[in-house]
Amino acid sequence: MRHTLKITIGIFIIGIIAFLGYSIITNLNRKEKVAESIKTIPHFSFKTIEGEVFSQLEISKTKPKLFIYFNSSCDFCKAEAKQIQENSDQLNGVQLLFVSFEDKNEIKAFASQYGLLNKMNMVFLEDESMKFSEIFDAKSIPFMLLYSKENKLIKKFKGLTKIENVIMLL
Amino acid sequence: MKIIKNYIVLTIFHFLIILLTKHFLNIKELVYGLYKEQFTSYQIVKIVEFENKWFWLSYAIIPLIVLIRITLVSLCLSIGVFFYDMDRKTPFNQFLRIALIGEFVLIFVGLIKLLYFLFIKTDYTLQDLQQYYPLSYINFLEIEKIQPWLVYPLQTINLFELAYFLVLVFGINKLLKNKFWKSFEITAVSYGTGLVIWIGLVMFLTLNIS
Repeated sequence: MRHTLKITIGIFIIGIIAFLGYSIITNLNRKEKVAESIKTIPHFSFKTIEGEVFSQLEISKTKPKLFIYFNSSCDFCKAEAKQIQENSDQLNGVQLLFVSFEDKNEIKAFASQYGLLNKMNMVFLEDESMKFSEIFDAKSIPFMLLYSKENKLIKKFKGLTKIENVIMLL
Repeated sequence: MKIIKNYIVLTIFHFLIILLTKHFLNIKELVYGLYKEQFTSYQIVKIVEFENKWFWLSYAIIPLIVLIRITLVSLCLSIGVFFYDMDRKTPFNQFLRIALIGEFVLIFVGLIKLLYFLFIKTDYTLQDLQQYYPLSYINFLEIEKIQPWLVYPLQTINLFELAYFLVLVFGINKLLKNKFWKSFEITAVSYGTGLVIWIGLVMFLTLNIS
């Protein structure tokens, strides 16, 4: 009995250590790959709220790009959208790409609530297969990535960010 | 009974250190400064309101954290003793007593940290407060260049950890009345394994949220 218990505990402990070790190494490798791949805008394919396919081929070639990963029920995302609305003049020269894994009707309602719908420099995208977080390693919302007009990553912003901090980098 | 008394004294010490740290190191101002970089005034007011409402929670969880920590360390030690076939009848509260005495070493971490920022490094940021660990290997490194998931394991390499470990060794030695090096071995294997799992878990979680 005592012997069996020892073996069981031993296997359990080794199992935990092996699992943690494997997860840490896998996670590190994945993060390294993502960090490398997002240095320039990677391949992606989402749908606009009008139902058209929107990929990296459709992004502006003359403006810096700001990806905003959001969710309409998140308070910090609402605060971010409000800031964008209030500073929309200063963001005119930037293409804003709002991405959410929600249904297009919810995205549309969110955009409309903050007066961001039908703006020339703003695109609202539906991430049907939840690929954004995987492609860009987004672990929280709001999550923003600022790219130069040459599609080079300038900065990642995790969590709620003062929009002035983004504008400063343009 | 003595365990409960020690536990209460230990918790009171933790309360005091936190109170003194919050008061003398102006934590509120530092947090506010950090918020100012990220949030608008309206949002800051909301956050401060929320924090004022829940500030008691940061104190209320201290006894719970201490209890969880001593229970886990005691569990590691008891498993270690069980594996070494040293004793079949050692009550669990004996291990709790050892872990609780060890916890008193950790009081000095908070105290030295407070004194360090109060008298030596008087110009500090919130990040400095979060990342500094007294008598730790991490202080010899440039913290800005360290990946977030590596901060905790590097902080753990410190003299207090060594002192804590030695208290456990002496406690086990006194309890089992065996040779010092045998107690050292049992503690290293049992507490060491627990520590490795704990550090691994923290690294795993940090990697998943950052």
